[in-house]
Amino acid sequence: MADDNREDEESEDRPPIFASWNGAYSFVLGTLAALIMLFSFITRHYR
Amino acid sequence: MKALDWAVLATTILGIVVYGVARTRNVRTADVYLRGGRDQRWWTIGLSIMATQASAITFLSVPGQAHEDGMAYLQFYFGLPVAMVILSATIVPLYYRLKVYTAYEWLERRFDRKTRQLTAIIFLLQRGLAAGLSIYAPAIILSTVLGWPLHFTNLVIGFLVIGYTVSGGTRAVSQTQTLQMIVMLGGMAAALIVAVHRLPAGVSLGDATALAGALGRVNLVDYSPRFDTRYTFWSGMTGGLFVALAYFGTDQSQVQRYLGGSSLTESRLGLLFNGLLKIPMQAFILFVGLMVLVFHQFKPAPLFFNQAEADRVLSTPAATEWRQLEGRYSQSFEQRREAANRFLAARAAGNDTAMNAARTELRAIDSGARSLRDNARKLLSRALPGAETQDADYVFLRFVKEQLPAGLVGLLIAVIFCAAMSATAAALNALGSTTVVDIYRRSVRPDATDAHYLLAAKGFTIFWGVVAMLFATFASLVDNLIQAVNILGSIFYGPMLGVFLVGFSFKRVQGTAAFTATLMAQAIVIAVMLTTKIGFLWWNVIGCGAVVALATLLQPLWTEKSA
Repeated sequence: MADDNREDEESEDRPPIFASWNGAYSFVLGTLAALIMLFSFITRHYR
Repeated sequence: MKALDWAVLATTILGIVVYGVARTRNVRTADVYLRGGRDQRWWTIGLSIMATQASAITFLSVPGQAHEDGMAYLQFYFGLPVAMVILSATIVPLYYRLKVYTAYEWLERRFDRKTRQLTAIIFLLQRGLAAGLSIYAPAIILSTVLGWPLHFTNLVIGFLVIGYTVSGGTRAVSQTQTLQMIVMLGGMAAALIVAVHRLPAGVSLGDATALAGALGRVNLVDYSPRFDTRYTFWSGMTGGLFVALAYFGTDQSQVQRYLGGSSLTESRLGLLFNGLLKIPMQAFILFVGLMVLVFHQFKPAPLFFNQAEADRVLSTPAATEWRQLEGRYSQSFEQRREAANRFLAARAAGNDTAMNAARTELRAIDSGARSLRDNARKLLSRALPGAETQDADYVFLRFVKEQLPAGLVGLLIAVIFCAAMSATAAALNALGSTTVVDIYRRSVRPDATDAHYLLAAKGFTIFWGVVAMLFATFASLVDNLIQAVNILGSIFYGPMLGVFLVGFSFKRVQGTAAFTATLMAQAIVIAVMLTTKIGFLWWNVIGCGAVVALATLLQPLWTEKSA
């Protein structure tokens, strides 16, 4: 099996749109928090 | 099924298979077969990750679960986005840096060969069984729709999947999964539109949701801290997080999806894409089941959704009692419909007092109807010992068959097929890869040629396909399929995650302590499963915690010996 070549990949590793990966992670976790709040509201509203 | 349904089904399934084979027919090295040539973009990785997890079971069992118990199951996925972030920040860069083919390779570099091979074997055992369930779920559909013998249907599905997986390896799996996801989401959207459209005139989507809420099924979040309740916010955020960390971080059927990325960035984005869309997608599928439930408040539902078993009871001495139960269930439906209409009229008038009264009445009637269904299951079990008494997986199928127009029935059957093929193909691909990389190349034939390993990977993929088909033959012995898969995963995922966690976070712990702790933790999880009523999501936490605790406690024993 051939070995591959992945040098310098991490140094070039930048997410699109966000300035850093922490920004991208915050967006995902913020969306989760917003969804859970929305679901909590829906659960209470239709109880 | 009508001719149009057959045409839609055949075109969709064969089109995807031919596309997968044609796009990947030039796979000539083991590296491309196992890692897909590392040319996948983030959206292909994301869709592939989602398609791998969304088996046919998802599209059969999840709407059935919403119909029976509401939307509480959604909480199972609350920990998933957190897991995607953790994995994207930690394990994915590590796998890239070490240039691994499988997740278990890393364990040998961190610990030793026996720990790597123990985890590889645990994966092969768990995923081999789960692949069998992935084949069995759509097989029951086709058997019911076409009247084919179940075993024959298992073989047809199994051979179809083995065909393109062996032909194109990882790249074929990813390419076909992208198309399969489009078909799956499109088909479910069509089912939702039909379910809402078939409601009585004047019943809006908002009315339908309110009615489902009145029946106690809009239960998306439950904050009660109970260990014996299967799905709560807390079990989702802890047990669900552990399951997701273990599944996406250590299960080769998922690791193989993102290791095929053209760069580290693409792989990370693929995981985050899954973290963003997974919960909305599951909510959507559950909501389809909820709308089928509302539909059944206005149109009669069968006492028992598995028609084949219901027909069998009628040829036994229990037939009279069964007919009586059906009669009482029909009466209960009439009462439920009237109460539903009263509830909606009160809602339209904005009369809260009347709404509360109708809600109480609806829940009482619904409770009575559930008791009748429980009685039917008991009667079925008495009349036909060993018969399948769980029918939740048939709820959505029955709705599709009886309510969807020609063409859409074929499309929805294609959805089930696509889901089964995508999950099973990813599993067989990973099983073949793990067997050849972690066992065969490592311990049996370490110095063979690339062509030999390519042939071996294809051979082991076929082997696991046959094992999965054999297991599918016996899968009818379990009840709700998606729970069976999750329960099966939860037996093994805790210790698996634990050994990876120890590897990352406890630098002092070495191979023998990690290996022993993993074995002991696995025994503890099995003991907990057999002797307690603790919900299965907690087994992941217990298994993981046990490995961490035991490995750190045991390590001094070997340190002292070596000193």
